[in-house]
Amino acid sequence: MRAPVRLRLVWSRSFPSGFRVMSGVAGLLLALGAAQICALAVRDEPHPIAASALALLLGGGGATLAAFIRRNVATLAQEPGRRSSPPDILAAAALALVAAEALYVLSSTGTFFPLRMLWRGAVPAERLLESPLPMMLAGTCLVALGAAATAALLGALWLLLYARGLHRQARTIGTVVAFGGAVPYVAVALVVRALLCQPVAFRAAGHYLALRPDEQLAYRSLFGMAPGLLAASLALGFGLGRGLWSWLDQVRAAEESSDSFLVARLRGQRAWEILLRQGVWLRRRRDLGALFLGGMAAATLIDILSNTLIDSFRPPGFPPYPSLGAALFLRGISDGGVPAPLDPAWGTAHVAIVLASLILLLAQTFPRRSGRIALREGALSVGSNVLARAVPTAHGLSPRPSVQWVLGSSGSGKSTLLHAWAGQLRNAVLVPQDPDDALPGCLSGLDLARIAGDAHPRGERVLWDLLGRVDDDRIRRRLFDPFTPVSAYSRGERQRLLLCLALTRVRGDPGCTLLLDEPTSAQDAARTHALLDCVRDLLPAQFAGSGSLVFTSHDPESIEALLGDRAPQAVTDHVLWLEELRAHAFSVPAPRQLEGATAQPRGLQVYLAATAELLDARCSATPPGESTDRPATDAIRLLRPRVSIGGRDHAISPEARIRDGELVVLYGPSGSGKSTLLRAMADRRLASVAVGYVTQDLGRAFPGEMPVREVLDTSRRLHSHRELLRHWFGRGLDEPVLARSMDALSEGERQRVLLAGEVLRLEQAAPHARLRLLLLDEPFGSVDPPAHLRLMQSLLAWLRDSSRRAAVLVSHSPLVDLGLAEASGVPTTEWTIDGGRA
Amino acid sequence: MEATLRPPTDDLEALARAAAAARIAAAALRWLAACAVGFAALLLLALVLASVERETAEEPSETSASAYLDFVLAVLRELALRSLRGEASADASRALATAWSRRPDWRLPDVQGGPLRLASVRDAWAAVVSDRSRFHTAARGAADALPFLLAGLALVFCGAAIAGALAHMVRIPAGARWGGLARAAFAAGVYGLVLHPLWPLLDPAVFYDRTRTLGSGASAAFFVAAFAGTLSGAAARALLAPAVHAQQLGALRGRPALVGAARIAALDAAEWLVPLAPALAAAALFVCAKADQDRSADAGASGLGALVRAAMREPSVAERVSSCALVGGALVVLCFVGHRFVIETREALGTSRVEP
Repeated sequence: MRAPVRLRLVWSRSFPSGFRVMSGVAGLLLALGAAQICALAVRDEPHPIAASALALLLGGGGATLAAFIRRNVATLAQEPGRRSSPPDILAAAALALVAAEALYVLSSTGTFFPLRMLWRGAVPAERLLESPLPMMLAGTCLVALGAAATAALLGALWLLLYARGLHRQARTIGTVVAFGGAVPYVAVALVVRALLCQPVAFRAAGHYLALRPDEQLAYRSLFGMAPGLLAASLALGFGLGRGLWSWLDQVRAAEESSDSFLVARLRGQRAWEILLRQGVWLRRRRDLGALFLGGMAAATLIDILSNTLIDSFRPPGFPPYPSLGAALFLRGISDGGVPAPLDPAWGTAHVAIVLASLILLLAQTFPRRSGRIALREGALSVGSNVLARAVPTAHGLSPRPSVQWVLGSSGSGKSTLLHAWAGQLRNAVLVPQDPDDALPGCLSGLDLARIAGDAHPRGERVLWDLLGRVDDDRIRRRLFDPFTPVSAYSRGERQRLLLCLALTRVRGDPGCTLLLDEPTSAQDAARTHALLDCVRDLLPAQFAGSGSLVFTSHDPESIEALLGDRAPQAVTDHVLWLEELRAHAFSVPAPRQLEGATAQPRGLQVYLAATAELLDARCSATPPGESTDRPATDAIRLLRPRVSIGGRDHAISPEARIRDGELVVLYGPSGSGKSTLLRAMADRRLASVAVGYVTQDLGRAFPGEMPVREVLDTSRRLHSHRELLRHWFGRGLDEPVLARSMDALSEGERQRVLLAGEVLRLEQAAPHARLRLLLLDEPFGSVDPPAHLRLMQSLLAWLRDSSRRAAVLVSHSPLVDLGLAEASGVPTTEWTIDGGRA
Repeated sequence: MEATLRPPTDDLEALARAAAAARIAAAALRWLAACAVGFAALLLLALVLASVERETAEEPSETSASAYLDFVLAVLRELALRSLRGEASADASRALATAWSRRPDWRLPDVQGGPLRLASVRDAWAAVVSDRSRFHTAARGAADALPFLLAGLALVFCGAAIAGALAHMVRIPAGARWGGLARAAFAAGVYGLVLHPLWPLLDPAVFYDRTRTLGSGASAAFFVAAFAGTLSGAAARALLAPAVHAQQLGALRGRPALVGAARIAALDAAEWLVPLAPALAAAALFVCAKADQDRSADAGASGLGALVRAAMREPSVAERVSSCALVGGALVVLCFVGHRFVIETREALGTSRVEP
């Protein structure tokens, strides 16, 4: 390996992205703690217990952080072309400022103040006339680092209690930390000094040379240093740890309810390991770093302010400890009996340290930016990554009733293009695939109804009617509910509400362009049809406005309903097909025929053929409810008699059993609890059943930074299963792909990776299980029709190939999947959820 | 009859107004209840402290160390003189070491605290509620600092809301003229809300000059809001955030959603404010203490300043710790009330209840 490459590797492992500054802090703490412990053996320390405790605190905090980094840094995903982020640059600027101040103090006093952090104890006689500034600066820095170390140890304690399952003790200690952290540092400092006042002052006066001929014999009681610094570190660290403790509680709650947690538990990982790896490191290590660094900076400022405050009231003999706040006391009195002017060096030190702290604090306010979407000169790009060329601008879009379709395989850049077009238009509404990207979770249904009222003269009424057309009485009622947040609605409900809001807006403004990104991906068949009918209303044969309609969807139903062939209307639709980094434009006059200047790409032909095949399968399927029941011999019952869905108990039919080789298709209205039922099955953990679980919302389920290799969970036996992985993923999974992070893949690719990983795990890990059961929660919702077809055929082949295999498939298009299964001869069963019964 | 024919959505505006009023009223009531609980807890703490009577033994006089102080002063003076005369520092050190080795023997005086005795509840109550009791001083101190804290917190919320609206405005596609104005307003916002509030923190005199005060008006409230970069941080978060939600709301409305953007930014500021509320409480206390040092001000000393001063001048350690506990208690009440203010403001601005 070449030296620069090796150096880069060492750098990325020592200072991993998103935790660089904290890695430096961890190293500094470790070095300080070790050096302090060594120094204790040789120096004359008046407070050996406090000094030892402080050294252990620093070292322990550093070791905890270093262990956390070392444990997680081994499998980092590749981040090609990722540059330093603004927080990193600002943190470096803060560090440079402190370094400049250290050099300035060195030049003016001859003392390099960071080394003073290692030296404490009795002041030698020859240092009597030395400026106290280096020691004060060292004290301030030590307090900030000590606070971070205390918080790190509190975090480790939280994790230890969680790993041991000591929930009650964790709550008790959490209460103690919360209370301890709520006591302001001013009060702690006051109490500590009140306790130390007399003995320390006298000892300082009588034994050692912490005495200067200014400020009426001010007691520079460096003997109070170790207790003072320890108390300050603990008090400020408890304040920081209080926030960390509640943050960890929130992380635990979020992580335990996530699908990735369930999947990892099914893989046999321990809860604390999942929490540490996925919840803290992969998802939130930047937040953790921000918490620590912001806390350190705030601790510095609080320490300076508190010491200044206490010093401003202090009678003679009341001991300080070295900190910039003590500058108030130490600068002495001039000849006239008034306080001497502040030495310029002290003022510079104050500005440098406070400015560095503020920079560090403000650095944490920068959001984590994703790549900038741009469409320039026909090139569609995210950051420096070009997704497609020959892409037209939004200004050339045909007005309604033509529909501009954007089609392409998963990951080809359709959603990105819609965002780029929305940015180019002044009057446009983009309905993103994920409704949470558009609807703030804090708003209520009533707030959104008022937005509809702003968008259209009778917007509330239009919204009400549209929701009625999609048969959504629940959301209709919530338009009058000012207290329930949108975040409490199901994903399907949020998607419907957003689409109806956008339709309301476009109805009131014929010049508005509507861009729909997979608007029916979370809807059942009936609601899909109803929503498409509402969209169709925007496409009258005669339209006088200038607004366009842009549509992207993998849903065969949508393509069938809206592409080209809209019965009485003889209008031409347009298709932009994205393939192999290039956009191909076509017109689709009625009846549906593709015409264009360039030859049809092969991918588009495959795409449309697969769409037709899926629709054919739908037509050939036996309608739900008409299939014949099979005998319940050797069937396994995975569900308990009653399952709670959305706070309501549902009775489970005794017939809900799973047999070898069977495909169970579970369907029901959107928001009825299909995913909950699937999770309940996954959570049963019967010894005789090996379960693989493919979750629905992969964008949220797995941390974006998790490497593909880790999701596949096949690091040990990957080579022997390459063919199987290729079969399920659709193409080879070579090293560069395995090293990529999940957020570098499209939603469809993510689903295929997890599906391949779960099948592989079932094959590897459970050869002797009575049943290998694959639980699939809408695995085809985000994949393109060819991938849907291929994956479904792979699933059916997997079921046919061997006994002791079964699958439960949650589907919003049950007819399509049932039709494909029936055509392949795989036995099927339908389960449905309706009216409190499953 | 007419009412039954009216569309059900006609009264949404009135419903929204009533809901907002109900939310604000409920938040205000909860905050007042939190204040009452906080001050009641402080009263209870004062009662407990007052019920323990301490008989102070005679404290050894500090002058007992005067011999040592004189000795050390003499050493220092000698050292300084030799240094001025330009003598070698090695000689000075040797002379000092020799003198130092002959320093008088000295040991810490034995300080014995008096026995503790429990007072009756009636006596303790009478001591607590008397006009010049330490509880009154502590409660007055918390009440003195509370307006600064609340004003600081309110300024942070307002700053974040203004920054959110500015950030939304600058992202609205507009013509060259309005776009230029929006960018100018954004730049002014960056200076006024992020950079300018930091200046007082960088001024050493604010901290170390006893003659310099922040007054008891707007500048003091701004100092509290700016302390630990709170106002700047909240505003920077709002200005730098992608503000996707605000943009989407604007697109759905068909016109800028300035109020929505401001509301989202203020809600986000609450997340930033929660951990910093104790720092702002300390800053409010600092402002009061600085005001105490303002000789031109007519007002009397603030309660907590007086209590801090008294706590450090108490003759015995037990009395000092007792006074410190009351100062700490008052500060905890201040933090608690400030924290509840943030939480209740968040509740009043947003919707957080989730159905079971």
